[in-house]
Amino acid sequence: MALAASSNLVVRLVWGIDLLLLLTILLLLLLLIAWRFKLMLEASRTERLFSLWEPLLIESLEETLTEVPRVAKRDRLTWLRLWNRFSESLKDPVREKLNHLARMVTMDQSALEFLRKGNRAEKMVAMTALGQLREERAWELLLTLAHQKEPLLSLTAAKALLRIDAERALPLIVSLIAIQEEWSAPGVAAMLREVGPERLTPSLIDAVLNAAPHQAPRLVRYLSLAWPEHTIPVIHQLLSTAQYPETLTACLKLCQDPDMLGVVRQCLGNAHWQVRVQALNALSRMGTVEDIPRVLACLEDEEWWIRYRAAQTLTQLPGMTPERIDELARAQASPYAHDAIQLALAEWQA
Amino acid sequence: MVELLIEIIQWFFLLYFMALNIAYLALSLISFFCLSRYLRQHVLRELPSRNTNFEPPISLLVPAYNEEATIAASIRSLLQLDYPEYEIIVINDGSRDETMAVLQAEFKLIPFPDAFCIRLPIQAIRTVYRSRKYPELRVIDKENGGKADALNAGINVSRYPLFCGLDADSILQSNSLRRLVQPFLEDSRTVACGGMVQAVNGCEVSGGFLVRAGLPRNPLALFQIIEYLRAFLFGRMGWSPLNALLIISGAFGLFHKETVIAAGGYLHNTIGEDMELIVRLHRHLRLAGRSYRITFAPDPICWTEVPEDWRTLRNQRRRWQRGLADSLNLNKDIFLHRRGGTIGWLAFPFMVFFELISPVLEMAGYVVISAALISGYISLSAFFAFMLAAIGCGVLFSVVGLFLNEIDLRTYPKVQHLLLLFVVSVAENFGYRQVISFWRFQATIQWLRGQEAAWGKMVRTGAASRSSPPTERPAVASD
Repeated sequence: MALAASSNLVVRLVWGIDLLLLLTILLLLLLLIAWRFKLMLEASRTERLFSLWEPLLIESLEETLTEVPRVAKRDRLTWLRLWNRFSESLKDPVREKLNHLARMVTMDQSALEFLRKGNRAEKMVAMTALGQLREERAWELLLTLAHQKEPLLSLTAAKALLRIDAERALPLIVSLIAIQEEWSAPGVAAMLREVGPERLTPSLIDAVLNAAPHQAPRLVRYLSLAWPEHTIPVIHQLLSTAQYPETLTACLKLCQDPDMLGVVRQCLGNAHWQVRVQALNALSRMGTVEDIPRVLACLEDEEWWIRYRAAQTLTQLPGMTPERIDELARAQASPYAHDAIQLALAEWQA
Repeated sequence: MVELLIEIIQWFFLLYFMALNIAYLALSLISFFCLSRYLRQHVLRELPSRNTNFEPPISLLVPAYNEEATIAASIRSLLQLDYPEYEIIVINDGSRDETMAVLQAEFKLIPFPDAFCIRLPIQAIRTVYRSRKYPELRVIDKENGGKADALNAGINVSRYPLFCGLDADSILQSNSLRRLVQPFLEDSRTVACGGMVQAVNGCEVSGGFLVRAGLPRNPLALFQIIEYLRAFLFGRMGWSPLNALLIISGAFGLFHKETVIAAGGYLHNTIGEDMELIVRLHRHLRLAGRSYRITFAPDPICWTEVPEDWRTLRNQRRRWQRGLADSLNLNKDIFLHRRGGTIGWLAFPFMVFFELISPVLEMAGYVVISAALISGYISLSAFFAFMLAAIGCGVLFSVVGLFLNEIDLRTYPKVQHLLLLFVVSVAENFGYRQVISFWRFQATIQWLRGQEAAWGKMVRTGAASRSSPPTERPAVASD
């Protein structure tokens, strides 16, 4: 009796679950259809907005428009996205012409509102727009966001700050680069490249020289975006004094000046193979005939990458010809050294 | 006594069924929130991007075995990817057809005295070739050793710190690499990232890239579309934020090379080498106490052809189930290990109880419930109640996968596609899923009995309509 009652209970429970499932599935179907229609309506609205505004955006590059349509409140974010996309595809002086149009339709206000009260996506779009608009009123909020841990959000804020006032923002942002470990290198490089070497160089050099040893590598890699004549002394100094292998490798990647040959040659004996590899790369750019024996010695290194780079470096040194290199290959006792040279020779001749 | 036994069995199946579906429900909720957040975070992806030369270079590894029909087109499309620095390494794994001849003719290959370090043991390499026309393309011609061996050979020869494992028929989008590398840029702990894989059947492909998504006519392919949406958008998206993703598809995954080498590379003695590697990476890194992430990115997409005949599908699903069993068995140390974290205490037990054992329990459930009905121990009402519950949950999660696709990728733009896929989501659970479960059940039994597994032959139908890619690589935007 108890079993029968229990069984009935189970069966009723399962029927209950079945009903719930059916209702949930039907609800999901309705949601799917509703969502799709919502997207279709949005797409249609967006297309209308684009076909109205794209010609106006293009026209605003040629002449200053005096009359423009109003943008409905629900279209403001879409308008900002269109405007961002359009302006990001342009080079700097031309972009400025779009700012007047954005202010005419009070998009500066809308962007500020999105920045203050919007969700993550709205904030991201707003930050990009406010940077483009050089909107000072967004400064404090952007500064706060630039310090946040979330990398995409903080990097976008940093980029906006640099666009608003590069001179003022650079020291702050450059110091953040050293701290914000999760800022992607391509993202930072794109941001600094936009600033330009003239403005970037002093702040970056200052930051590199004052950075804590473990933070320096994160900054040194961007020295390639600064003026070389200013960065050479810094690189020279770091190569002579830095202990962290990451700093040394970052500096060696940037070595171009023959005056640094001495310190580069010293790095060939560094305990870390990554440093030795970069030293060989540097020698390939500026080495002399005197370096041939040093490079040949690296062919005996236990690390494959050292042997490979040494062989490649040989092909780049002055006075080296394929015949000479082939001769050197045959003179190598080690089959690994011989193989590395044959590979480098084949690449050189390909 | 028999009634008591039936009662106990009934409660056992009911509790198992509830636990399984609560777990799936939790995964789908996590997926929904994480997908929404991911889309909001990456809203600026629509902006034009430029190469900065700070992007990490990538080695694309393409193992090829008897791929004469598609290899040239695949490689041509890979040569057109929008990414600043990458190399392509095709590993001809002892093909018995004209794969090598096709490659030589199409890409003007010349033998190259490539020197590299054998960091992972592999079968003998006969020759390494380099393309005269495309210096970034190299081809390894080697003795047959299986997919794992081919990938390990590619790893040995590769020059770059990240490698991306691809299938020879994978079709990427031009921005796929750019998107797949993002997790590595956003979080330096990332050691592996999987992308989304979708069925190319019924789609239009031109120039090596997908131009229009479409739905196939073949019902098997349609069912698999739903399966893939479910598996990726809530299976993987659900586990990724917990750092408990146990599988990255061999068709499209990006890895930190040194981490993979340190873990031992791909294993030869398993048929599920892609999953086994991921499980082993987790085990290796967790037990070493290292901070790491293995993640899934929903927006870089790889398109691949799915089987349209029963035989190929059966072989594939049996292989996957055996691969699952192998992967779990070979890494069982992590199971409930004190340092196992979400892997040892959540994902691994989930895989054992809800993926490995579930086909066996499902088949047992059908047998028991049918026997109980026939012998009168349960009523027809009870029978239908249970069957509908099982089917209903299957439909529910298939529709959830479809819904997540609507939020994220919106792969199929037409309303009629959406409605058809909904119908397929329902129809999938009336026969198709049961057949798949049966094959998985067979595979589990075969594995337990130690029977040998084989890859089987994929019958390629060219199920996507394709036109030839252009011969020149388009200019890449750069500063």
